[in-house]
Amino acid sequence: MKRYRTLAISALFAFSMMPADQDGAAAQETEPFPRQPVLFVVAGQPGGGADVQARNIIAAIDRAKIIDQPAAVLNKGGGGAQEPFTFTAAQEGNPHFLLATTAQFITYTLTGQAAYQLDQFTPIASLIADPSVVVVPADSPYQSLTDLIEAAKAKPGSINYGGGVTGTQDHMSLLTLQKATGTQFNFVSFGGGGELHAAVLGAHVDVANGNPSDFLSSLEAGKLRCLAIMSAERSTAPTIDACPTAKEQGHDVVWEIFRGWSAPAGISDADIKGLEDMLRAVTTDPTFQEEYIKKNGQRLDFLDHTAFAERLAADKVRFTELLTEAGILK
Amino acid sequence: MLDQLGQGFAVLLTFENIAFLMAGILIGNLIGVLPGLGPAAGTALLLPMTFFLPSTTAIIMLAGIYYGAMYGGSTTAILLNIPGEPSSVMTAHEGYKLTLRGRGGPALAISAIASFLAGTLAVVGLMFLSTPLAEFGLRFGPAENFSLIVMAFTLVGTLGGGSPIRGLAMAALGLCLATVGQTTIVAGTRLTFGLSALDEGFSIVAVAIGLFAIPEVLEAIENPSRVAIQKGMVKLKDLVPSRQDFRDSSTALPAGAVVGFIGGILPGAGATVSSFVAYGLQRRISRHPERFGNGSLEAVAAVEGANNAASTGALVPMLTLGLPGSATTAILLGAMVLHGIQPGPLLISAHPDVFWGLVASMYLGNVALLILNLPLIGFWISLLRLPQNVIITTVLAISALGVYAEENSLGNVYVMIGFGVLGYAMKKLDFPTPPLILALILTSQMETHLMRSLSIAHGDWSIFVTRPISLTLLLIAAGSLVLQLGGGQRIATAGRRAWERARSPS
Repeated sequence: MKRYRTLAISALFAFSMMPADQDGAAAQETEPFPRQPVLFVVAGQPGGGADVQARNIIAAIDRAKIIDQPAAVLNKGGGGAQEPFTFTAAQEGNPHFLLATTAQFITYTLTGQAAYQLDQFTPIASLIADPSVVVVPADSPYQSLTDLIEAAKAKPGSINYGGGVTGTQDHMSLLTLQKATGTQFNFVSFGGGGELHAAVLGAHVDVANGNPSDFLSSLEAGKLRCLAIMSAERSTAPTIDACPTAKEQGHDVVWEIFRGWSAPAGISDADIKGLEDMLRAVTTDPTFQEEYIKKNGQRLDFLDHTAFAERLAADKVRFTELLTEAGILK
Repeated sequence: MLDQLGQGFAVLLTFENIAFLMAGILIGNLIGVLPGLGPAAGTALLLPMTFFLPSTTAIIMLAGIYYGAMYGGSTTAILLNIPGEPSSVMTAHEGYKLTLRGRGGPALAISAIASFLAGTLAVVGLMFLSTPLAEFGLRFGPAENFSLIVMAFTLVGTLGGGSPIRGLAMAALGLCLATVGQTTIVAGTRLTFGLSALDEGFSIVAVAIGLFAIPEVLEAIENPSRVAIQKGMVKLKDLVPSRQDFRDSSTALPAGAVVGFIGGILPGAGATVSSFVAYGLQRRISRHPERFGNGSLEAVAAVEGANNAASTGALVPMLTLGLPGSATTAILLGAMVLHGIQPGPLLISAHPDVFWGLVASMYLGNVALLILNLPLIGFWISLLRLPQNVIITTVLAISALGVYAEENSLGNVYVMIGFGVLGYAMKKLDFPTPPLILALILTSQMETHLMRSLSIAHGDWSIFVTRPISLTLLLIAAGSLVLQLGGGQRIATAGRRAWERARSPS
């Protein structure tokens, strides 16, 4: 335990933020949350999806003075690294560390390569539902999702479909589409959203999917066409509000990913409530709603502690099923 | 065009904008000097402070941090053999040898001048050519990127000097090490032995600092008389490059800038690959290729020009297409979006004041950075006169801090120490380190592009030769390989003989 505390303190020190309250973790439970600065732990360097969300949350916290302690981002390890997970798990009992919790959090445990267990964490809340969009270059022959699906049925496995790293949520979004429509595409894996965006703009793949924020600038300029958004209803974001849902086109596919936060295990119910209230207050901030959620084509979808825990459990089952059928999990 | 630039200067020339521009480049420069703390971290740390600023001012300042940091990157590489980011590995390789010979001053000066020229040239490119160039960059898909890396590999070759067999052995080791960690193609990680610090493969910064700086420290402990700097060499004459130095660098300065700018625009290349290509190219066109590997000023000029121009070049796809090519441009893009400005094809028409204000600020910022950096050289060099024990402990501390700060990862510090020991052994046994780093950096990218190309082509290898850009790059690679194996000389000799025979009357 001592080693982990040293780690935590040195992390705080490296950010030269403020004198860390060394007894924060062990402070009397009578004091309400937060008893020390709150750190948002995200994987990868600044600029990634979770990082941008954390920075927007912190901006909202500062604007509305939601908590009376400072909050900061801690960028831990590379983008695909498990370091943020193991680091947060090691802060057992300390509610002042919040781990960015996305689909990756679950998928790592499925491949048997996780250096952590899901029960080392306390799910706090998910703020956002981030849908998948299917996009093609402006001069592509495909005008609708139905065009694309018919083409795929005519020549199974020949259409190049770009997405993120194999086995991640981008890939599972395609797997869901294939399953629902009985089609087979040739999945081409790309690293980050920027790489994929460049590849589809340059027509190196026929079609791509990702979150709306990955393609916004090109959709806005009409260089990419949105064939479908995989959510129950159309988006309200001005750039993609004309993009039809898959369901409207007769294909019952919904793929939205949660973007949430988890604390280490072993924290008190009062602290869970404190964290939950903090994040709920963030979602009521009008600037956060307009400038972050809406602009990025996401949807406000607040899941509290209980609902988020249920969602994680349900998604674990769903992901296992998808990846097993695709032959990625044995 | 000039009208619009004038407009940009009109936007720029307010007290507030100039003040925050200067603050930005100053902070950026300081951050750049510290290894590990690159422009991405600097921009991210200061982002919240810009919320209260008008959007144009904020973007001018954040961009200032970004290119200011690129200026600082060469300082520790040249003086202490600590490459703070992968793109200054070759700077350390050449620049530190110059410092050992008492020519650290000219190396720092030429690096600042190269950065200035490259930065300015790249802004001109950004101004006139950004849209067509960004569109051209899109034609680089996985196959083109693969061939580009192959070309970079052959251009740099064995990195000059020493035994080719030893160089190849080290490149092979680097190749093996590059297979550790996650690949984008296969789900999960490989060869990490359960160490989560290796999930993403070896950190290039940790490996480079481990191989370059740590063996230097160990050797200094072993042999305290081996002082890096001759006392009393800090005369002004020794600090500024001579006329001969400028003459030697006359091709390197523009070549580095052009290579870097193009490399920055291409989605798969970036500053690191550009710096290698510029180095390899310069060695081909240099009048003194024998100096490469033993401390060549010309090489420093080419590499520093390339990595600076690349960082500005990377702004082209970010601003005109909304495509972030690196971690830093990603955070810059995020910052612009936070300020209500969406970079992309519509940026220039929707927010001309922002775009042209930014362009104008970059002209001024580059001049200011040059004026700021040249007088600092004397100060940096004089630091080398500190007692040896102070220098080596400082090098160790800066190295460890820099490696930790890059990803806030203690695991990377262990990686640095491990490679430090390896580097020391290699030095003792006279194995060259640069081929290892080169192979480590390039192989992982090459593998990804190869797998992706084959995935797109459904396993058909002809994709590399049926696409014109890819084929051209591969032909350049083949040509460079032939020249390198001495074939070029043979061909040239044969040609000369044939010519002489034809001229002789018999």
